[in-house]
Amino acid sequence: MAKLPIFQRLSKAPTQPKVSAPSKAFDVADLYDGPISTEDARAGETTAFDEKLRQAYFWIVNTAIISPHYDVEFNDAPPIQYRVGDTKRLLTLPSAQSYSSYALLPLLTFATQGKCLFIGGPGRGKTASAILMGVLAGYPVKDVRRAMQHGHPQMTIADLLGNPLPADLVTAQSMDAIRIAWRPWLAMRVKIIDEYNRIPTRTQSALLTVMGDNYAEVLGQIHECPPAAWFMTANDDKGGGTYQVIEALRDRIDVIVQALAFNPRFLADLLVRIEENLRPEDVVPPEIVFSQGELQQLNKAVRKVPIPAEVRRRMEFFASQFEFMETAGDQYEYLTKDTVRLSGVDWGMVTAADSGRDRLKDIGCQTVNGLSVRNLMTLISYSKAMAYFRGGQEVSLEDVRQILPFVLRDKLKPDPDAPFFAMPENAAFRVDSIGWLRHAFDLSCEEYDRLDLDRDDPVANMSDEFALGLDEIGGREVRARLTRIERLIGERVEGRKLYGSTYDDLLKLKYLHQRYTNYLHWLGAKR
Amino acid sequence: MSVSAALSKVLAATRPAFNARVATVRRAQSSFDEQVFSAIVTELLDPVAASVEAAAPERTAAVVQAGFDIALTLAARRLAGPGARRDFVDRLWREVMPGLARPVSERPRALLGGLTNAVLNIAATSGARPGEWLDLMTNAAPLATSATLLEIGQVLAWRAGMSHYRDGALNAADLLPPATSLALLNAKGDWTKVRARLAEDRWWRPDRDSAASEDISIGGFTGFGGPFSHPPKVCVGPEGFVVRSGERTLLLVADCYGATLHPVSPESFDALPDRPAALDAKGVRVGDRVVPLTIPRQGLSTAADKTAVVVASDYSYDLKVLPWRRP
Repeated sequence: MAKLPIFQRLSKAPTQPKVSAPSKAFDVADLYDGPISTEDARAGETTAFDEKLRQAYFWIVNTAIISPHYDVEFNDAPPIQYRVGDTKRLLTLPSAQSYSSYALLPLLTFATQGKCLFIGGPGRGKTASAILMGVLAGYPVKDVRRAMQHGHPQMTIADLLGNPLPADLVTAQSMDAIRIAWRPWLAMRVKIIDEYNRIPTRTQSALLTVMGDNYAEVLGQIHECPPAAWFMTANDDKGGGTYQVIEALRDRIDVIVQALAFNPRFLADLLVRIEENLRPEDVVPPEIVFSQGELQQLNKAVRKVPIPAEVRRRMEFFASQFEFMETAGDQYEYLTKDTVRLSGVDWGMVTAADSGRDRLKDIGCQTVNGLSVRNLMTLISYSKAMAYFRGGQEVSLEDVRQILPFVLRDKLKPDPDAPFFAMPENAAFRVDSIGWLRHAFDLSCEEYDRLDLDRDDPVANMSDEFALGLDEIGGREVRARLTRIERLIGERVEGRKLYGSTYDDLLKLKYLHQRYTNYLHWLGAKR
Repeated sequence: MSVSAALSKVLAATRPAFNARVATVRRAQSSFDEQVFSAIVTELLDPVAASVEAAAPERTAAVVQAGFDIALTLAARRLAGPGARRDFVDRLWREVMPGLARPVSERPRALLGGLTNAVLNIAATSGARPGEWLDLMTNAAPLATSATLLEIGQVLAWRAGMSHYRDGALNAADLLPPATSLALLNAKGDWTKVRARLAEDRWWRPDRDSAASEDISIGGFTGFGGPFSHPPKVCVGPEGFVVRSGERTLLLVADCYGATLHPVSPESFDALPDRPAALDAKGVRVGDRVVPLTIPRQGLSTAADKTAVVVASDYSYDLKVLPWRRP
């Protein structure tokens, strides 16, 4: 039977139309565009990858996955907002194209070749979404289903990676001679692990090697895996399950996306599937399937999206809020939450000693940890993908703001005893980590604006000056710069409380001071 | 109403699939009217199926498959059949398509869908003449092949008043055999020379001997289906004439085959200087030509470029486009 047109229908390009310029260019080919699909008239045309990605998104949300939750909101004009319920929660009607994170984040993972964890109760379409991603990568549905790894308590490393050939085990004279029958999924560009929190701890370690380093090892034999997008499912994001998920494996996950509840208002959409006996993954339109070469080009295009300096500075400022812990040590470089964690000292004891700062105002006091380099790289990567997906020429602050909570969920851990969470108006943030992280980013941007760092950031100016290089710079100029650094440090520390951003600024100034000092010594030795 | 043997044969052979398609659209769209759909199949698709059966029977099934999907869209959107606002799609399928049986049989979806979209676009363009396009297409049918039909449609759309497609239509004509291009424009002689003159003078028509071009009237009150809610004002801009009527700002594109209006941003009008054409006792004076006026001089809005004068009035919802050429 022919595939039903309703499941094959793609959103018409452009899916993200830009405001048209006043100039009017008329194309006679438009004569044949209209409500009637002319499929074969368009054979051979290629769609830009961002457009193709958006068409894939709209096909997924309009046809495949019923997820009418537009929680990634963008506005190009003031949105309409309502306060609802006794708690006066905000219902926003966005004024620009907005997205459902449940469909969007897997697609951005697909574009960045990242690692995405689907969480949520059973039967919410986590596995179906992951399979769709496999089909979008050009694999037949059967292959995707067969290659999917299902976590279970008896799963061994051999189950996961492959078995040594029995004949070789008997006849081999050395380990090198033992051939391994590697599992086919290792060679795929979309890898799916269903219920990863049911995999035994030892097997999780083998999985970590594949995820982190892109190779598998059995009996000393190495199998190199291609770069891939990873999709995992679990019933919760805290690593619980049959086995506790090892910390390193959880840290490798780039984004966590929650399958939100089904809205019964959309029950009619389910009816069609049951009555027609159709599964969305069986009827993915070929127009939105990416070939292997296209996947590589897509990934390359995403990486190329620039991040403007002003957006990058706000990311830096936000990231600098969290690692600093004034009571954590004696030496300046070790005043970090990581020092506390490594020492094993009780967290409550350390925070109790933290006095003098406004612990309510300081965003850094809301967490028990800071951001790792991997977290920041993921944030950059997904912000670029978000901007690319929206057809932007560069990453905007709103791209970062919307993507940040999904990247930092489960990475930036809240301190439930922090004064911030004790405030009645912030009580909801104890359970809504997405809302909390976005709120924290907003607070950070407010503070950034208050400090007027867009216009007056002497540390950034000194960094830019240093980045121009030291060639042809004489001793007098270097000494002048050193004096400016020392004066700035003096101003920063005089009578001021220490906050995360100040801490990182001072470390940066110390770094610059040290580089100039070394250069000055080198100049002296040269003479 | 009974249908031809050709259509009933294909419908019978693929009945479960066709029924499923109808059921899916019906579920997705509660306003879907099966009687309208049935009328489209029997009155519009059937003549096409019958003509294809006569010209290329081995392709009838493919044409019906494509036509069935298009009929579903047409019915779901009320673009054809009983209840449609206009009958241009009906006329296209009933009068034009049977004459294009062979090309349509070779590329059914592209040509059935493309030409249907074309007639809808022409009908939706203020100033264009969809009825004339249908007549021209009917006459040009013997010249068409599956490879040239879309280009022929483009050239004839220009002739039927889609003047904003002038450049694209000329390029499309270049892709056709010269004899076909000349025939489509009702021209004689050497296509290269005709083409060169068309490119040089937007008011010259190869089928008219006279050098004088006809005046064009475009517009009308929105209450009667026209584009203007208020009497329009006109200015001349870098890309042509820009017209303001109430909240709407429109670009006016005109040539020897007609004039069309296209929405543009309000800034396109606001930024333009008000440079009216010169008025004297005899009428509007442009270069060495005087265009006599038949409307009151009070409340006039005029604009002129190198080849035309546009006149609007506070007392009219119509614009007059007056071509002028140095004698």
